[in-house]
Amino acid sequence: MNQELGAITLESLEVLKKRIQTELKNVSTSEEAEAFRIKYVGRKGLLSEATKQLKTVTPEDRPQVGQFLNVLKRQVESDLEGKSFVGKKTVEGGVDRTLPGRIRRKGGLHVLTSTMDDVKSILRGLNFEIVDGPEWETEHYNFDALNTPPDHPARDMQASFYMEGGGVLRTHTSPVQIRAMETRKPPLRIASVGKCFRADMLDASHSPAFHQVEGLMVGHDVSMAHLRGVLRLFFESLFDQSVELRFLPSFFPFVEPGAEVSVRCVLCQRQGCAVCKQTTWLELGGAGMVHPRVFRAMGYDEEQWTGFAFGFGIERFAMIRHGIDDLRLFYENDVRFLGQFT
Amino acid sequence: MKISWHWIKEFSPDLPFTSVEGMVKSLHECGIGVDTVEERRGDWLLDIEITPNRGDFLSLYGVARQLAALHGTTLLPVSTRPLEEVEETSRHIRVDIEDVEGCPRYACRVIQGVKVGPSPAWLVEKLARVGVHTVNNVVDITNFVMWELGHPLHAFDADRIEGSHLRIRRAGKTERLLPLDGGELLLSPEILVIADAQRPVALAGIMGGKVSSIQNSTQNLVLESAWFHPTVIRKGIAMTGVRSDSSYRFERGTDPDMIPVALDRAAQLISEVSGGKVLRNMVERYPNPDPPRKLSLRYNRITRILGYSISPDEAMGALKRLGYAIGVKTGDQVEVEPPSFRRDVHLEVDLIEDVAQLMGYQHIPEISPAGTFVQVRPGFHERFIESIKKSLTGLGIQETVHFGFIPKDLPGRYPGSNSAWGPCIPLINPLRNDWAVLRSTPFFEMMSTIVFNLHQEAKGVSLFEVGTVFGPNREQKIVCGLGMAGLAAEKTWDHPERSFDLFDLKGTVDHLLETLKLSHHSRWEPIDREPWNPGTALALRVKGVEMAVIGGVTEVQDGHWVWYGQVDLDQMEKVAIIKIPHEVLPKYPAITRDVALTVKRYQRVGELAEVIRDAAGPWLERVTLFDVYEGSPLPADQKNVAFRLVFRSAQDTLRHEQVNQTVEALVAKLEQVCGARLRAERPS
Repeated sequence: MNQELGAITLESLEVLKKRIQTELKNVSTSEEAEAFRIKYVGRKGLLSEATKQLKTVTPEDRPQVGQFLNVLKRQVESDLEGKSFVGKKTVEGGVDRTLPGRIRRKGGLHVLTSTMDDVKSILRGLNFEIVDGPEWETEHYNFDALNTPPDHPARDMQASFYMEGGGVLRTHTSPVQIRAMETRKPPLRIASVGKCFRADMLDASHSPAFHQVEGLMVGHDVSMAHLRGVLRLFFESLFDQSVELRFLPSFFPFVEPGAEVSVRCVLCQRQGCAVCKQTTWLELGGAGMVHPRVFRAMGYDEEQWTGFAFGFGIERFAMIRHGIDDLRLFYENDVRFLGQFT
Repeated sequence: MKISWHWIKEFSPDLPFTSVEGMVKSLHECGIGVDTVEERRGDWLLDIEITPNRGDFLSLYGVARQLAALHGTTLLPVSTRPLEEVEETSRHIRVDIEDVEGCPRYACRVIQGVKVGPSPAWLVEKLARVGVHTVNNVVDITNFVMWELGHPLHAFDADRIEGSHLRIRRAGKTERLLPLDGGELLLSPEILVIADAQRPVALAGIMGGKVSSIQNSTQNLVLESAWFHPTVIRKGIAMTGVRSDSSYRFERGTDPDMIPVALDRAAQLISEVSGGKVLRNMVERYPNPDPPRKLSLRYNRITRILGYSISPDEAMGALKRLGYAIGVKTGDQVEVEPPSFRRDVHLEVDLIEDVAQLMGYQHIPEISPAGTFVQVRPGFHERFIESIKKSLTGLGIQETVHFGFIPKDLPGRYPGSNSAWGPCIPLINPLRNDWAVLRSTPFFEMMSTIVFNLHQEAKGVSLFEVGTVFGPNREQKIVCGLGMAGLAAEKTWDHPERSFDLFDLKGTVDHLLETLKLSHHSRWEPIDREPWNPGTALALRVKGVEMAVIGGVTEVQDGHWVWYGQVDLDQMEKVAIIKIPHEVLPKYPAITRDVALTVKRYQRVGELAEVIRDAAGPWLERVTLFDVYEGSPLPADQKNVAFRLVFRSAQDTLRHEQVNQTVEALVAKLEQVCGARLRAERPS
């Protein structure tokens, strides 16, 4: 029987616990900490000895005493852990609390992903269902079904990458509209967000791969006024401020009437800045009323249904929201850039 | 296309622009984009962008016509009164259209006794303002009229037209033509040509031939003004690769009624600047005149499409200003006929667009749609992808996004990459060699991005990309590429530095498996597979299907060691569980046992863990490997391995004796299967 320990009872252990706690307070160097560890929880330390002598305890008390010992031992070990740097890193008055904290860093989503996530959740808020489609498309879905026949100059508007073995890398997310309409009956509100490709050289505002959001709403009396109403709500959420919307005549083969959509520059408030190129307007993309030929190709009755569609560039949104002036940064994947958006 | 304000003003002098900004704004309201604005001697020169549907905007007159309609200002006609000789044109040229579909209308005039030479200063200056270089007084006039009226013209040297006969026909299979620009072309029957009695003298609507072109010695001209079908022109461009300002206009649709106007205009101007004599009457072939295009417009349809009401009077007024002929009104609809220059108008909705644009889109109100709410919750796929990304970013890994195209020769530089991920499919028309093939894996781009970042300031990088990869026949699937290199942790005041290793990557995938509740169905197997370096790779099987491979790869360019792994998310999605069921918290206490073993040095730890899992019975809740030790004082062929086992019963409190029995049986099994010796077993 260990002299220091005496008979093992809950009472004696309680005394021991008090003693340990008092002694621990005085531990302030690593040498002291190590001595303390050996004395109590080392292989031959007091608490280890006590555990070995559990058999001397009456069977009725044994579980309770064993439990107490285990808890106490764990407590001591973790208290010591808390003091493990003590000694090396102390100053007068205790631990050197000017030492830097440990930051655990999480990774981040790519800023294009977080922009797309925002766009999706705003559109969901406007009750649009988010749908998906392939990036390597057939010419049928990318062009023909969208009222862009092979010999039409409109195909030149979107310089396309053609693939060996057939098909084309989708030049817009619009084919997803067609795929969605094939499997759904109107009325519907759908949107698609994703990567598109056009044969554009890479510069500060162009890229051969880019991302787009496309929205489509079809109903009995969906009008251009609804299009404007929905876009206002969308942009106000996206840019987190009230916006002034501008539609100008434009042409996209799959809509008629077609419009180019701008909002009053959300950065300079009519002062003119580099982002709006001193025009005070931010061009954001195209929109319009679904062309009757697109409805016809889908087998929708163009007399019964009307609808609107819109398409915008995700990179443009991200550039405006974060003040990024060079599109190449998105694809360079410099972690110093990407890490700013986590 | 370049336009000049002064030139526009000649057609509509009362246009109200006092500043170039005002003009730009009006152009925008016509759907014309403005790229650049330049001031030149009091004039504004604007580079404008015309959408492909509006071929009628491809001239100064066309732009002025629309601006005049927008502002309700006058539109003056151009002067087209050539002084004609007594001699009949038809005595000097014969025209036959042999392909009426490709060329519905063809007209020409003959001008004799021209003096080809430099153009007068006014002509040179005017062309310069719209960016056209001067050639000679004849060619300059054809260009002038094309810019002015939008109708392309062509002048032939009449003395080089064999038999004074022009035939508009398809080219023969063996015929050749040397165009004004470029090398000799071998023609084919898809191509429409203008031929004389012998051979082709021009690619119809695209470019004239060199032989019959206007030279300084030319005295007599045949001046052509024709209407070629856009499809035929596009075919010709595609076949020959030749294009011109003329073909650009023809393929966008020109105005058939402009043919005689442009021809007379040019004849008049040529005789004025080059002194030629214009013969009497044009020779014209127009076998099937364009039938009038009648369209119905329902007033209520305007409201339905635009969402606000425009009175019939307002709508008719707008169409009239745009040159429409208003026909019979019946009840709530009206019949209208678009002007001949509007080749883009086919449907009622085109009329509605015209009305809306002339009235101004700004008048369209903003209305929130009414309707029933539908369920738009993210689907399983989206939530699956989101949970993957959340897990990875939570582990400190940064997402990347790449183009998806790579250089053609890159896969070849990583032996085995082809068989690991399949071939990369080539683009037919890549822009650069760097973007020549579509990726079959994010691996290649990940490697470049890692090396790029290490060359910047990064000491260590851990990246992922969730993206599409492609295979033959438009096959595409979503994978997750994971790349780690350099330092996992830099040295800090309390911690030494540490490099990324295989187990960072393995743990990342294990974490994904935990997130998706797949850990219990998963199994890692050491494999050797290129392009991973030998002895470094592991394959993950989930429910028997390979879903990931991870390992070390040497980057080709500068030899960096990179840990790369790829997870097949399409496969994983099929078995993943992301609807997280609530698990009842344990009611009874756990009992923990540490089992320290001495084993042969080459004993795989994973096998020991598996034996433990198999033999430990239903109470085993968790096994953790907490120590592996090799070295002194152990013999060289041995190592110590220590596991922490947590036991718990869902039914009642386990007794130590119960657990002791289990552990004893387990140790016996370990001894029997793996030759392990127990070093110590203790309650912790």
